[in-house]
Amino acid sequence: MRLVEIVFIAIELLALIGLLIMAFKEPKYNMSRFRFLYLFPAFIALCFVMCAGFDADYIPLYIGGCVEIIALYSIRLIYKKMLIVCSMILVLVSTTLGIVSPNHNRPRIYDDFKEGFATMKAHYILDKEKGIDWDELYNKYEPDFKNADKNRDVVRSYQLWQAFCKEFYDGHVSYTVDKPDIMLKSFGADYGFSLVRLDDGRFVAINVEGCKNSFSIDEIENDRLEYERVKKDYIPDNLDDIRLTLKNEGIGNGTVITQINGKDITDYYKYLDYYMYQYPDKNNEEFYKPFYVAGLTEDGDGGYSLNLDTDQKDSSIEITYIDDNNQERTVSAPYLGAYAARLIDTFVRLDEGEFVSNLDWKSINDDTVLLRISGMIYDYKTYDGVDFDVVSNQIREEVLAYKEAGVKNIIIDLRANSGGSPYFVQAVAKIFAPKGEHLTYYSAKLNEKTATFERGEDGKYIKGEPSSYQGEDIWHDGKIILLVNAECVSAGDDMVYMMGDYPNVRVMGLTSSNSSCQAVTGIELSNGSLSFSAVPNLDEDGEIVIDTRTDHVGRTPFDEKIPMTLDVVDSIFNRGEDYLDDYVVDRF
Amino acid sequence: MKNIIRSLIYDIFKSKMYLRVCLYLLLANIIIVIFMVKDNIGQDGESALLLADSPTTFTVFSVILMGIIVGKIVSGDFNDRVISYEISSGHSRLTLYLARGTLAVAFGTVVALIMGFVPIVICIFYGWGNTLDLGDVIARYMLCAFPFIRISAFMVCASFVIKNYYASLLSGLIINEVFSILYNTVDNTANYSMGMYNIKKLMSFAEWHIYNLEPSKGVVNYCSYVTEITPDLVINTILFSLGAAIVYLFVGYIFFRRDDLK
Repeated sequence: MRLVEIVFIAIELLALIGLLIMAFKEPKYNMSRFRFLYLFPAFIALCFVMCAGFDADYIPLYIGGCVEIIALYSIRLIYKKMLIVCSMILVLVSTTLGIVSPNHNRPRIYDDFKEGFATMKAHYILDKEKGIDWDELYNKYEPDFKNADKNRDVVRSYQLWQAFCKEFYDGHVSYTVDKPDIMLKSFGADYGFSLVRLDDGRFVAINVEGCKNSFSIDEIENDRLEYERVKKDYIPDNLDDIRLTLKNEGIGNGTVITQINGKDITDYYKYLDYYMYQYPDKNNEEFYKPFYVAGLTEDGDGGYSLNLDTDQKDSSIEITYIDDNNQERTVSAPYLGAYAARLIDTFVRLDEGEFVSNLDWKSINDDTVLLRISGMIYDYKTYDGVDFDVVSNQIREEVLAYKEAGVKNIIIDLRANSGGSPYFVQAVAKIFAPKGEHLTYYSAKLNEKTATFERGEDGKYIKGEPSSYQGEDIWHDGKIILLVNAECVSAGDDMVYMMGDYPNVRVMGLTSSNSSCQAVTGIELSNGSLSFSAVPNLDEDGEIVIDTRTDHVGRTPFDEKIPMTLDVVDSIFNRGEDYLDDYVVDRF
Repeated sequence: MKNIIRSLIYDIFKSKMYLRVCLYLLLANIIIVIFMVKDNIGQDGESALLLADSPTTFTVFSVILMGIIVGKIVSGDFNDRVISYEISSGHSRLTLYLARGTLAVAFGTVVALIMGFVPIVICIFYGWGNTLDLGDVIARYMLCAFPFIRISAFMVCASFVIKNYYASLLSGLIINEVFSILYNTVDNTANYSMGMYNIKKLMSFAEWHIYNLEPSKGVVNYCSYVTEITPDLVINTILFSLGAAIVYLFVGYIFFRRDDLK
């Protein structure tokens, strides 16, 4: 029950008690001028509806409040007292219903699904390109959402939404909640490690509990889920005794893992119903799958899932690994808590870019500097406009200064670039672009009456105005590397798309950029927020730019995949260094 | 009963003070709405966006004036004991109640509707635009007569219970203040449970907001609203409003029936 409900029920009961006392005193004192007090319970019921909303469970209370009005008739005192007692009983019945009724304050899970689905069906712009069959999607998820609604299972609802979003293979389709607890229960159990696949095909442990510069459940860095505050609800009682099990068995960052519970790692891919982020590019998806496998737990039906039940505190998994003597051994890894915290930490350590502010520079050596661009945003005044001259002027001045100082190479660090304004991107890109006019995109024409983008007869969106910029080619004799990864998304993808084909630019990363660049919108639902691609960017042929199609092949330039090797693992998870900066410098 | 009603009507129109109050409130309404339209006028001069963004704006002066009218008709005669004399002279309490109640409800509703039309007229004057369908908005607004009947019936009931002239006059203001707080603090205030909530439901439109990235202008915002009236909106509004009005008037009567009028 909510506090407002408790308060009003208490007031109602107190009012009825007061009326009962008044009724007992009536023979002795003249209470006729206080008759209006018999309206008070009805007034409280009215205020209750105003403030807390109408609830069927409180109908007895509403009736109990209103029947007191009958006492305004000069009925016999005994009947007045009986009425008051009846009203009190009705209020208590309502209170009981409010406590025990399964429908009381039900989270609107099914209603949210219907609203979110209907909105996406009406306004998601890539359904044709992504091969979305709305009817099939609805039939697949509707029963599960109905079930989750019936069971009032908000965790299951979140998981279903994540699975629903995964169907689109669009980095801009996401469902978020502001309840960290729900995410903690949705990404599996922590057995003390995360997992990555090297380029040579081997799977190795990373971010192992107890290893220096790795995630530690004792002292949580990158605590975006407020795990520290609630971890006592997740961790086993004997955590201190078992925390270093893997480390004590010789498993560290880079240890080759061959099997989990007797199965190959790839056998677990089929249990990954959803991810924390979306991977429209299939190569990126393959790269990140092992990360999630490390959190899978047995679901009791012979399969595995990312759902974390609190009764899994006694669980463990059998990890088969290659020890220092090249022998295959198996160890039982005990449950340590919720995997979501370690998973996010792994993403942050691997994918977050250089830790400097947006548009800051860092000197790597005499020949090379790094420009960090973490978001395509300058300030709130410029964000909605097209004029980013302030950005161009700043970058130009700095680039010319470096050029004069003899710097030859620029690394533009776009890792985990969350996007922003495409006009910001143009403002930066034009500094480095070859001279001449460069066309970026066409906007799409909108039906202003319905505020929707409509397709023409050829199935394509109708082209609007073109956007272009004039190249200045200031870095003509120098080289540029764009450092990207799968978390470089939206306007970050724009920059890769625009600059990737310049003659002196190469695009590199452990993974390619996300391949999601249509502009995004979102809606608030009662249990979370849903966002999706809603504003098209078109090329000269009227086709959607950048976003993947049903082939899940990324469409941004990607010249060189940085090998995922033991050196990367050692550098990041043992030594806490940014391996990629050093690697990229040598690639010039 | 007809004579009582006639005398009450004469009393209202004779009173220059009340006519002035009505006029001043009307002028204040016009001026405030003009300023609001100028602040909220959308791109392409669409002033109807004011109504789309603030569905309860127009009720402020309507409800205040309704409270003044109901207070004048119902509570005005308690202080100078006119009602006591009318009872003494042979009029039944039912007749007195019905006369005052029905006149207060009818007059209050009409005045509230007229007052509430001001924003619509001003928006038409400044350029209605294409965002909201004018016919649908006017139809929805006319349906607000039923929640106004409900609210005025509540005011009549409260006036007969409280019997305080000044409290009745201020009832409209109090209702406005209370509901303006509730709109911000309570979820889902567009429903049929209260008269004011019903008005919000009638004047709220399903909306969709989007933007476009236009190279010459940057981010340009667009919105569309669904103004169609559904049958259940009409039926539920009428049923809930009239039902609640009858209950309020009945409660007021059974209180007045045995009241000692002190």
